[in-house]
Amino acid sequence: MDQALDLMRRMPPANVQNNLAALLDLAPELTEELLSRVDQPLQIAYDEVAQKEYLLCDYNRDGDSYRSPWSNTYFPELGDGAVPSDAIRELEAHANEVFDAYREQYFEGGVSSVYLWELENVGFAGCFLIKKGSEDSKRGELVDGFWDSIHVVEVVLSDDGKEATYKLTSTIMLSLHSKAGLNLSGSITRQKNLTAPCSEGHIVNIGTIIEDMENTLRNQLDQVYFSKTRDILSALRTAGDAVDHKRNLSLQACLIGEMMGKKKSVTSS
Amino acid sequence: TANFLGFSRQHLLTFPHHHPAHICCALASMSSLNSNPQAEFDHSGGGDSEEGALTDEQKLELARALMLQSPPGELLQVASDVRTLLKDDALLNSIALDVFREYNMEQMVAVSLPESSGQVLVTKAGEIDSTHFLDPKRNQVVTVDHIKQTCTEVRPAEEHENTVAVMQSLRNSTEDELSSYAAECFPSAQVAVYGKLQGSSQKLTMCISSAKFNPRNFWNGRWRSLWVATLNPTFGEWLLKGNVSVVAHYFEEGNVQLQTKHEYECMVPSKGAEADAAALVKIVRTEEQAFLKKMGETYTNLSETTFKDLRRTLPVTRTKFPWSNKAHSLAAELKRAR
Repeated sequence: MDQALDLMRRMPPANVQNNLAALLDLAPELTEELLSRVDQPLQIAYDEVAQKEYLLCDYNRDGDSYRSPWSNTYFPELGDGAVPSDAIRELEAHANEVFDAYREQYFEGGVSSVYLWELENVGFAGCFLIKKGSEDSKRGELVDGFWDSIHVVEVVLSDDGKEATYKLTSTIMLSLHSKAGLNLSGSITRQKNLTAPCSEGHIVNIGTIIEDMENTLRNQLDQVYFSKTRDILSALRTAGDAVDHKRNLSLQACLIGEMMGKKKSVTSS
Repeated sequence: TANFLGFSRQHLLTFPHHHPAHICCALASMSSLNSNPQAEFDHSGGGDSEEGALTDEQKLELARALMLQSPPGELLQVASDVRTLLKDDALLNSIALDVFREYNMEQMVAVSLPESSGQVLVTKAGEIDSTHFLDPKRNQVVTVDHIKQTCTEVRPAEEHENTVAVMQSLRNSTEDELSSYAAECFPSAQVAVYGKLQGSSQKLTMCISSAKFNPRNFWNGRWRSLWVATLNPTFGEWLLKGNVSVVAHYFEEGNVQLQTKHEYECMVPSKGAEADAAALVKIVRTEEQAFLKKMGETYTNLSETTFKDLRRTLPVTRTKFPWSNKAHSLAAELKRAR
């Protein structure tokens, strides 16, 4: 399993689904664990009953069907598919409503879904998902992008039930590309724990740490995608001057001295 | 490796499914719902029923496909992971050498000559046989250990292995020009220029391979340029075809990769060895510069437009989301929380 995770950390994110499929073929004994632990870009399905879109993941899957958080039914139909208890379902429905509003405030579009399930004698767990896409033609270039939020939280209730420890693992998958051939894809994962009183309810606590986490990761993504990868590119090939080659030679004396200085500072990184 | 493993969830949270997934169905149903064509990858194969295990051949095909996608400098780790997953060392060993060789040639990996006398690129254009490659600059042939990515032996090149006589002058001039360009614009690139006959046509191949490995800072990258000029003697002109590709892998807290490709083609009239060398390299230089500039613009486009369109930094209200402000459901939720 460690090797499978290490492999997925190195394979091109743009090809995640094919590579995950290859892993499942090579190591079918790891299927349940792999499907649960390897993050994939979220797929969208349509709930015909509630007439709303919902997101697919391993936590709302049973067999090959997926449960909608809006109507609490499986598509394709699955008579005895796993469903949450009444209490958890009520909390889940409320969570979906609130999270949908959060999604609209930050993403102004996209789809969200929340799935909760009970953890016997411990509390409960849940995943909070968002998918947003954007396609554009700006300055004559066709670009598109996808954002996937996958927040998985484990809620451990204290003995007196007044407090809870929330263990959050968040992955943001971001894929950006220009049809002309540049592709920036990948994901960042971070974890955070919080112990807090649950007097105002769990959704408030969970929502707050998710929001903070997303804001932090959004900044991190901005840094990594647009600064760090560009730095790597500069380490491979300097920006270079648009100056004509011949002019370079004719300005030999001072220009070469300057370039030597620049080369040194680049290679010493 | 500790960092890599910390990537997975703190604890395994599996969902209590009633029904197991049908492996290929799970992914197929997911991907059919969202037609997103991905790279050619024949993993389904004919006999993938619930009982049918993969044949050795199918497993090897998958192993090979995974290894060939290794980011720069990470082939050994990927191969090691694949070895563990395959659970059959003998099987992997049967293709390991071939796959490593294929990878090295495709990536134009640089191997060091003995006694630090320089580096040589492993390329298709320079391939003499599976373990021997031409070093056209020094008129020698190197023996390559593909797994270790080292050079084990060096000997002078025989005439039939070396650059064809009629192209030697052109090759030398081109290499001088290309090396000069590389020295100016690449912090540490290796260059190779080959002159061979393809049928009766002269074929000049220019390679630039610039790789940087910095695993301690969680990144690796490689820039590859491959430019092939074929002479049409009837019209006295070169058909120049260029291919540039860049891969960068950043893996602190995750897995982020930049992949980009660029192709270019044009005709260049032939005027003599030195003039042609200058003209061809000038185009390489100009076109690669233009490509780099275009990449910069795309980066700006993506960061200022696409990324911002995906998620705001804060809601329009300029305050964080009011999680508590759901009074009507709050009482109900408090009941549930207990």
